[in-house]
Amino acid sequence: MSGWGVVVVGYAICAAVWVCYVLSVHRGGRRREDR
Amino acid sequence: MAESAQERAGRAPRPVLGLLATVAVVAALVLGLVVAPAEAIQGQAQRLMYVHVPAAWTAFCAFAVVLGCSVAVLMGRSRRWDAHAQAAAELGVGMTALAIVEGSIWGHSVWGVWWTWDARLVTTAVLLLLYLGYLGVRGLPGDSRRVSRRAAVVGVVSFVQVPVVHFSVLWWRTLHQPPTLVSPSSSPPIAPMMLAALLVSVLAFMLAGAWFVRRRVAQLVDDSPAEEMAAVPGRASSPLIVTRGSS
Repeated sequence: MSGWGVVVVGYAICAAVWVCYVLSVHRGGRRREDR
Repeated sequence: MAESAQERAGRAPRPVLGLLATVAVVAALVLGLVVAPAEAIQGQAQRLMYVHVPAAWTAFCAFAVVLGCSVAVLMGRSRRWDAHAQAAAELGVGMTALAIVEGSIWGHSVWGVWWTWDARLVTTAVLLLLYLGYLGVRGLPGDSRRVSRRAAVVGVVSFVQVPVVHFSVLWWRTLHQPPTLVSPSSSPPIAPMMLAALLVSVLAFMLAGAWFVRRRVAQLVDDSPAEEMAAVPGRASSPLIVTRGSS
């Protein structure tokens, strides 16, 4: 794996981490609204 | 009718920060993947710098927030400070892990190894373990105020590792390159367009991190019983715990 392949994998991991952060607070917000 | 601090904290935050973060992320992607040139020796793999370095910086800033809020908790401030410390630690741990993973991928491409017992890598791994321990202390059973104070002590002590990580590449002979921006030399050893992409990426990470912390604090405060929002007994009342009209 070299060149753009490394970049794509690296950015994909980064995106996945941030999506997890966003979803964690988003679901919390939904739970609060449900109450 | 008076509105409590908890009610205010529990409100959905305004979307301005989220919008700014989204714009900065798009700009960072364009600059990092399209506008910035490929590095002469490392080629395209160098573009991982635009996620590796901002992740590390965001982690450092998050741990600085943990430090400040932990000091406030030890001084008898309210649960809100504690919630900020927890949210910042959660952000910092994720960003530290991300910096390690991105560095490993980048290192494999440039150095030929996924991991080496280099001072920067080892000190960063220790930093991650320290703050995982901090979150572990937060999860201990028992009186929530006592747990918060214990975690605050760990939060203060753990911050000692942050400058150790930063200066590790200067204090020891390492495989890892010296600091790109915050270095003793007056001019950064980086092309202007690469510098622009890096700074915008740092901004994007910081804004996204601030957005997360704000949302997470609102979530934590909302989940806390009202009595936990009060200052530690025997200490001065927190100025944050005021009702509208009483200040």
